[in-house]
Amino acid sequence: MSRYLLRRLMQVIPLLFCIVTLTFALIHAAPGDPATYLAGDSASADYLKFIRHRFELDRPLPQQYLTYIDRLAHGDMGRSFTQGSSVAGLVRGRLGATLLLVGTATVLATVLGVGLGIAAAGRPHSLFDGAIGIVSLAGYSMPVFWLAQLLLLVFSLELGWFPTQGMTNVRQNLTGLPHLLDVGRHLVLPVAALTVQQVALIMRLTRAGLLEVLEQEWMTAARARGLPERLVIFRHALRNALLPVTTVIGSHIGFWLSGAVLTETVFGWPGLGRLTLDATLSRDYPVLLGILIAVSLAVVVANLATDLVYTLLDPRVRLA
Amino acid sequence: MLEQAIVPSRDSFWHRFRRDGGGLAAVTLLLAVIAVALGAGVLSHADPFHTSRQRLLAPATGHLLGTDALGRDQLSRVLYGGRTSLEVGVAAALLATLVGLAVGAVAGYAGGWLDDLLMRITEFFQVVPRFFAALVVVAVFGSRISIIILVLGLTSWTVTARILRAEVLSIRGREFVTGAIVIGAGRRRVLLRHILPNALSPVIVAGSLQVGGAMLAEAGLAFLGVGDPRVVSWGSMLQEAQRFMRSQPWLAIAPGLAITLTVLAVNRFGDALNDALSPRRRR
Repeated sequence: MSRYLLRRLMQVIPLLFCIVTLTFALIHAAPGDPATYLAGDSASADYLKFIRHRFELDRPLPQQYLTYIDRLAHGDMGRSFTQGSSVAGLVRGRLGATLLLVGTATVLATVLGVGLGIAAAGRPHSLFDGAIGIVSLAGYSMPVFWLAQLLLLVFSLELGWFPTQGMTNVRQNLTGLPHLLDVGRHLVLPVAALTVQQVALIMRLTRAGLLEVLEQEWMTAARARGLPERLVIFRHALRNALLPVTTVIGSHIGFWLSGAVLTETVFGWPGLGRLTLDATLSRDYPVLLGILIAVSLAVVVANLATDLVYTLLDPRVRLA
Repeated sequence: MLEQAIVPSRDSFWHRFRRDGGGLAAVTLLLAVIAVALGAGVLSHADPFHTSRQRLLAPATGHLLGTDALGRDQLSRVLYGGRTSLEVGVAAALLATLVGLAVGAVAGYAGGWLDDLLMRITEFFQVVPRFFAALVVVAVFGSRISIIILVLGLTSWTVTARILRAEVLSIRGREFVTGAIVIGAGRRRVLLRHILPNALSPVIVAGSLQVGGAMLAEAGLAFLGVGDPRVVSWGSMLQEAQRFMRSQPWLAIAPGLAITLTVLAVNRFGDALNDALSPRRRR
């Protein structure tokens, strides 16, 4: 098992290598020079030279590339063009808040989605099933940031139940339990938006998976043996139905992280969103590359976790 | 009579499709969206880019959906926004389908090292988070609509490639393929005339579902403020609305509703297509 984990984690290396290489190629192929962009149009030649030197843009591209790879191997992702501080530090400082959003939403969505999926599959083509289907389709088709705006409009601006912006109440300097409760209150609406997006997919897949498994002959056999319906569903059918659900949850982490970035923009949540946006608008390539690497790593780790859950759900799956 | 039993007749697709009420409603809605987007100039005489002093007006008879912060007619912006959304959605999905077709067909039919290489590349593109990759590309090359279409198309072909490869692998061993080879058909002919036509249904379904994904991604980019400033986008309208959530909340309603309904129609159409094309693989 630990050997398997190690081997899978080693697969990250070629992945990072490809991402860095491709991004370097892209930046080099781009029209314009990052230094002129950083220094502004009216910058003097001396200042341009200073900027190029400071960000090591005056070195030949292969050398810039190798230096970057070497530093990355040591956990250093260079310095931000615009803020001057370390990219690794910037990303690490923001990643936590984003993962808190996505993690909470994924846990909630899995529980809710599987539950609703089971309920819908229990009475296929009933009114309830139809309603679930429509809600799922709508949730899947709605831009998550618009849902976030609607939640903000209704529950925050109109009803005043939840704060509109940020992660904490800046006016009060809370610590301990009150601080956690405060963060919790700020968490509700962004997490709700992300949860709806995820639930839509998870319950749809759970329902489809269950309906397919329930048609199998060994399901009839289980019922013929006189097993109560509850056991048939929860012990026999669900395990098999959840395999594709697990796969999809793992493979959608990247998509949900981008949903989180968009949702954060609506609620002023201090996660990767603001950092991503600023880096994109100011062409802060080191920060963008750092974010891309961090998110890709998150996707790989999620896929790994998916494999581990697989072995729990299906004893026939062996990791080797 | 006998022939009909063996060869599924062409209209069986329509027979199955027609029975799906939701699917028909989705097609109707989709056609309506396309008609409205194409006829935007006729339906609204206001220029979506024309600014005026009448800023942030509430919906009223002159401006049915009000005006935005620059005094532009909100209704005409919603109508023209449909063009951008449809254009990006369809073009990106087409591009993704073409790339996926090429990669999947070659990988499945050629096998060997070429298959291995193509599958490694596919795995790489599966892990790279599409939206973040799009942000990097837009930061580097600027936010022209063609760039957005290219990057969305080139990052979302993996599903199609994998589906097609699996189909090709399962079909290439069938008797009718062996028959074609025995008769003397060349590799290209076997692939293009015998295998691909039988593997296309799931590819079409995957392509139709990618349209909605590309539409949402385009709206997301525009919502972050990195959409193409030269076209009207529902996403950028929602970004502008964000500043006036307290005072003019209606600015966020129409564009959001427009994109939700459009993507919903596209996705439901994809589901209906799936049910009608592959009756055995029901949802």
